[in-house]
Amino acid sequence: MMKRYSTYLLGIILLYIITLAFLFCTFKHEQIELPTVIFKHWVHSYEHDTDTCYIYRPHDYPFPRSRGRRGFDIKENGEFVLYRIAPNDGLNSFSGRWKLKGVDTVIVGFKAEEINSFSFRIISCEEDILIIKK
Amino acid sequence: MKTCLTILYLIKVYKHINKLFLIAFVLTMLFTLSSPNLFAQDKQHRKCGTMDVHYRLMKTDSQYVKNRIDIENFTTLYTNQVEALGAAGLRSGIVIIPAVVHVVYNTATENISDAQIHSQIDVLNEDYRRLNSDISTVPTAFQPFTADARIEFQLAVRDPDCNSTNGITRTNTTVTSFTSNDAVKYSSSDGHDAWPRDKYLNIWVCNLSGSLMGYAQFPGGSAATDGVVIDYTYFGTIGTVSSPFHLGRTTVHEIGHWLNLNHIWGDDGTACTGTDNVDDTPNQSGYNTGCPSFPHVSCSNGPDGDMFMNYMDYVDDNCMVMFSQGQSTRMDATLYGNRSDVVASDGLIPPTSTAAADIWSQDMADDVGDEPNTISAHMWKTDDIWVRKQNDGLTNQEHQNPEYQAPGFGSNYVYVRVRNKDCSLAGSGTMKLYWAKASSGLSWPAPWDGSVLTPLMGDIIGTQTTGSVASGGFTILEFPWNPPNPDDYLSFGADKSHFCLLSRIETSGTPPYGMTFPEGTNLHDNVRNNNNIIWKNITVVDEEADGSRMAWGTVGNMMEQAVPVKLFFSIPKEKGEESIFEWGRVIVNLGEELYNKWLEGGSDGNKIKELGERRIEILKSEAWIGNMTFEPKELHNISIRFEPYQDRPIRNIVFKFDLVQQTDEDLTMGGLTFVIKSLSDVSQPIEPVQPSFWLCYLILIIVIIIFVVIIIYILRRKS
Repeated sequence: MMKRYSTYLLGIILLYIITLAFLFCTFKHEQIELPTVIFKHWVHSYEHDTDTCYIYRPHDYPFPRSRGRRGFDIKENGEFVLYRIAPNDGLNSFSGRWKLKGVDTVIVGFKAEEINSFSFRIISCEEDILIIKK
Repeated sequence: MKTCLTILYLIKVYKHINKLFLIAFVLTMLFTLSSPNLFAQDKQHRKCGTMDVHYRLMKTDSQYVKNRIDIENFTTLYTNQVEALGAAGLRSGIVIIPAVVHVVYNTATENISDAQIHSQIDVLNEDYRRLNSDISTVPTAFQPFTADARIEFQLAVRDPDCNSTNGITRTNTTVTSFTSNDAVKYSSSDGHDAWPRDKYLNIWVCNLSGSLMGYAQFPGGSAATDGVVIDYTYFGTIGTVSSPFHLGRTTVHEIGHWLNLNHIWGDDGTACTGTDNVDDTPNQSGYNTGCPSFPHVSCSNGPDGDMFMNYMDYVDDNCMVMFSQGQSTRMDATLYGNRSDVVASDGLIPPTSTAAADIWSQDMADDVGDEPNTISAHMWKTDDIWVRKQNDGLTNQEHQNPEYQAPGFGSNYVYVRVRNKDCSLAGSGTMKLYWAKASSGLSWPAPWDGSVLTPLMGDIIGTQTTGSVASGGFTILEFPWNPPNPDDYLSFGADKSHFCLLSRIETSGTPPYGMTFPEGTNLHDNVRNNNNIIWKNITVVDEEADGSRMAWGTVGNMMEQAVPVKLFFSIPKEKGEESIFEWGRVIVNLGEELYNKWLEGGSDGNKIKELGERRIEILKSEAWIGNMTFEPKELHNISIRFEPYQDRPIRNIVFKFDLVQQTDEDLTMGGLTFVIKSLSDVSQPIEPVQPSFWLCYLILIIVIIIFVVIIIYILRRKS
């Protein structure tokens, strides 16, 4: 009885590992490239956010005055620089790497301990506006 | 969709697996998919917001990291102790911080006017004292959390070289705009060097590049860069400022950082996992902008949502209007900890014209050491003497009522601050510290000299040399002290535990002992005339079970001749002191003898209402009763009851109430001050638990239970 029970459990664990591997493989094979217009320094244009989307503009856009705006610089070579509001105001920058997940989701990872990886989904991207799903 | 296809595909591949395996597989998939964060890499783990700063700076400045950790540990310890005391933990004194504004300009427009600078100082003194008129815009739900931080700011009148100053420096720079790299803080990079941070708050005003409006340095950083930097278009309320950041709140915000406040959203992006290290501010997602409508809910912090009207959020100037009580306590920890030197700075003391050491102590926060002191209202309210029930008076300078300890069961500690006004010479003296059974009619030298016996009405506590006090500096002396046994003073009734303190610094062993004005019998005059004599007669009134406060005091005459007596009941005239009369009723019980004496004098008085049974109600400040004569050594005990109204202000408030004894309209004999501390009767908002996590764990548990039940069921069938 115990032997049969152990066999079942072993089978479950095996299937579990196979499933994980299958999912990872599937994601990798579906990767495609981002449009080239996205590779620049984007700054949060929060005044234009909607209930479901964040709006970003190029960093040289004539933004209204603001206490601070987060942003990021995404580069074609895989580099990613996150600009986050610093605890004492101003901006902190964090260097990381990005990769595509699926057709529209960007995963960003950082080597530094002080910031965790995250992802965001792109709704649309043009020369002067980037729309990201909230 | 992708997940579903995957499942179907695997089902097809493994269709030869028996039913048990299939069920187990499906359940395993459910388990996998319901597990939080397995594939969701955009979810962040719980992390303290300020830890980001620690990790980042650890790479470049290990000393800063150590300082920050020490400061945070001290702040936590202090905050826990104060919050455990409830209302009694509120700081009652006023701290005035000397500020210097370094205007670093490239164009004439950037060289802002003195008036614009003064408009900013005015804003600070309103916002840090909860005197801003727009405090009324705080939603009802958050009104109980608003705080009077009891911090004020003044432009320095003495510079680091001991010259007179208006607290403003002006530097013409070739730099068209500065960044947050601190170049503006060095003359070598065409900015202006910082003034010593142990005496001044440095404020640089310049043209900051990009959209940077200002930035600050937390406590614990380099002295050379300590202070705040503000763009010239966001400083003050007039001149170069423009809407929507035209009300001076950028500087209020940055000085909040300088006093160790964190952003209210916890500096974690929008993760809802960071913290501002303050308990009474709701958990909040990212920063708010513009002026949101109330409530603005995030991080499941409903129904009241974000405290977006807090100075430490990112909303427009006309939308940020309050500090919370928790933030005020955190700033207190900074003022008693890392920035304790600036609290007693000589930056607000005009430079002395004569080169001679001038040892002194401060009568009130506005005292600049003049002899006589023509600025301060009363002479028994010094904050340079404080009592602690334990020897922690260097890191917590809030006065506590002394408590009698039986011999061998501990001691109270008295702390006295000694200052030196001189610009170049160190000074020293001999401090003599005395106690007296408190009354509003004390004289000199009796009863302080121990000459009034049965019971002993006063005596010397101790004598210490001050040691060498540096020019412009200060030192704090500590005296262990156990007050007399209150049981020896039963004739004082409930006022038997009330004692007051006097410090005299003698710089000569022969009369007049170094005093500028020889001492007479009127103690109040002695203290006013000589800046090295200070006196404290302040009682912190405990809260009763019904929310009221009961205080006791003694009025009388310790002089050798009869004196006419007039008793004034008033609230201090100092700026920002709230009126106890808006909080509740003030009822004085005169006691039988004093009441009869008052009746014999014709019930002379003003702004009072007689209630019968020897009681009078004080209707307004400056109320008085008079036309009485006290014989030598005649003493009377009175009680004062503070009864809160049901609809009293639901805010955190420190009230003060003075009892002043005069011989006539002009001659004050003495007085005593009652401190009433009121904490809002509300529970602090609880950091909401994120239901999404609970939902995930609930699904997990259900899946596991179903899984186990099915296995047991199938195993039983097969066997």
